Amino acid sequence: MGRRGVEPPPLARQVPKTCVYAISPPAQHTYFSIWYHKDMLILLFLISLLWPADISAQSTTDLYQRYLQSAGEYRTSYNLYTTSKNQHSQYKTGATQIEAVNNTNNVLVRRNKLYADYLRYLRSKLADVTNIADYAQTVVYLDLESEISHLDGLSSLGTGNNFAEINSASETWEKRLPASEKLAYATQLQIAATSIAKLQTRVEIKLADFQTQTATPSANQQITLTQINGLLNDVTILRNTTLNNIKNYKNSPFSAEVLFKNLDLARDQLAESAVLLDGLIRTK
Amino acid sequence: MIKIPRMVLLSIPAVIFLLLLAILIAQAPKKTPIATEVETTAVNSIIASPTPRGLTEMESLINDIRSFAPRDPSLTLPNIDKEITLPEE
Repeated sequence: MGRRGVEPPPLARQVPKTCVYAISPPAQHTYFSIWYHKDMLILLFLISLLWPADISAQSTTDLYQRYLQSAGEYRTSYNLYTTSKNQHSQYKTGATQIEAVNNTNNVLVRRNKLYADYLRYLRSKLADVTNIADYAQTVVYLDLESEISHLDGLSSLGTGNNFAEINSASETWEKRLPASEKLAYATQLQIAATSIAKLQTRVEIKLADFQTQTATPSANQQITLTQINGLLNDVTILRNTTLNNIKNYKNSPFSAEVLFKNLDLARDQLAESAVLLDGLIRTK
Repeated sequence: MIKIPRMVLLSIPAVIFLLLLAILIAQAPKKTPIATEVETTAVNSIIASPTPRGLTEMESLINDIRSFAPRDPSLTLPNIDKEITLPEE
């Protein structure tokens, strides 16, 4: 071995010849092996990290549009259901029976979808207005989630083969409705009470501004200020009464009609306080 | 085995990335340009205003309160039939 040109490279010189095949040669990764696509998989994983979580979330307006669309679909299927039901009552043939079964199955599905879409819109509106800032709002929000999941999971609805099966499925669905409606009213009242609270805050900020700028109000101004504070206090009481009534809405009965009237009154008193404050600011 | 050119295989991640990017851009909320928003608001306030000077903050607040309806019509329960049945066979 006198010639330098044929000498093995330095690394190979250190490894004994017997060990050359102790380490298996690199596997031949074909296009069909996962490892072949590792770069792409890593890239997809990184993209998934950057992908916004709410990319599929729909806006409240979109949900409202979907709800209106479902209402239209329900109305159409309801008309078909009543027509086929009447036809079957009149003629009682096999054809009218099949038609009645199909159309009733269809209306049950549409009714369920309409109600689920309504609750989805209601949930989105609740989140928009309240930001789910307190315990009671969170409870209502989670109850809405649970109710929507339940309705979405009713895959057997609309698969009845005969009148008895259909009636049974419909009855089961309808039995749940009163509790669900109670939840919907509680949500509506939460939204309304929070909206009034936001308007009240705007009035209170203006009132605080006025009081800061008028260190020593006149006797007349003081009387008006007392009136305004009294009205704002009433608004708070009316709002809190409403919220207290729906706090435990599942177990305690409440009249949505009465509570909405409370909030109407709160709105009127708030408007009155704002008008009085506007008068004070103008005559300053 | 079918031989796929290496360049084609290497371009797959890039194509997927561009596709996802395109989806992201398409999903992004379409925002009205600020200038147009300001113009629209200004025009609306002129139209809604009873006087040329426009509404004061307090007048606007009073309007907001008076126009607020606790019973939001859009939130009213859907009008559904609560007894969908078929006559006994």
